[in-house]
Amino acid sequence: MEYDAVLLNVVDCAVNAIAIVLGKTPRLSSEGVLLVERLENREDLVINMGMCNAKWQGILTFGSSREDLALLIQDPSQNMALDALGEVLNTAAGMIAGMEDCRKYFGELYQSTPVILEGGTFYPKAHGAQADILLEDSSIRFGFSMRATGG
Amino acid sequence: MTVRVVIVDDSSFLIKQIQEFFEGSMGFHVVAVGRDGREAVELWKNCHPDLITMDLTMPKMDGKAAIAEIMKLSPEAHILVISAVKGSSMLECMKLGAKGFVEKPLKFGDALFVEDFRKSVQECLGTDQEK
Repeated sequence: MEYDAVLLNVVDCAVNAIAIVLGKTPRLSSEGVLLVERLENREDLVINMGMCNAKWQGILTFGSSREDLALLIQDPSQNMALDALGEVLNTAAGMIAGMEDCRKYFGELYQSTPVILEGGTFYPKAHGAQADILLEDSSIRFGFSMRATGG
Repeated sequence: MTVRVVIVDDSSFLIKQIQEFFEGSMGFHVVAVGRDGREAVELWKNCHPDLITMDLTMPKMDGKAAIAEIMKLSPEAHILVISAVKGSSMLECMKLGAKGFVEKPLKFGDALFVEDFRKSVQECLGTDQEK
């Protein structure tokens, strides 16, 4: 399977994780899945997780605005919003790491501790997939990129 | 008699979901919630609930250590592990004395999952205490 096909399946995992954790029916924005050379996630609240092994290092990111998260989880507190986003991230990471295509392409991936960022960050150059996932009137930015370590 | 429950998880989002399920669908009374293993042990000592749910990966003291502490205090405790951690960790928790295990993610929108969750709770309590 080609790398870009694996990336599309990874986006499916993200959509399913959002559906499971938030109990909503998500859909991709009209832009669909963007294949990018560097992820971009400058949302108010962002959670990143590293996924790596000896040959590959990658990043998984979810982010959203405070307002959108408050609407989605029907709770205005930032802690609750971050916990919700954290559960989406954990669920997606588990699904991605367990996905057969992903295991065949990358091998077993190990997850790092999630890192919370306000306003996002500048991501390393690496080929990946990015998508805005819509739920009712809210939006969640998702991204996943991977690069070979050369190891 | 209403079943008294303590929920321990480091995610307030999941605590809220589990609490809504216990109180809304099972008629239980959630008497307290904790965010780590140390709080779990303290809440056990203070509340002596009929059921305590336990996440495993938590700060300060993990769920496994908290289960061991609680079982030392009260070997009859009804502890339900709710965690994404599987395999040997789950078996170790059962050996320590946990009476049930529910795997995350919690799919409260899935009727089959909800039914399995309900069964796990009832098996953990050892009797059908649902109201």
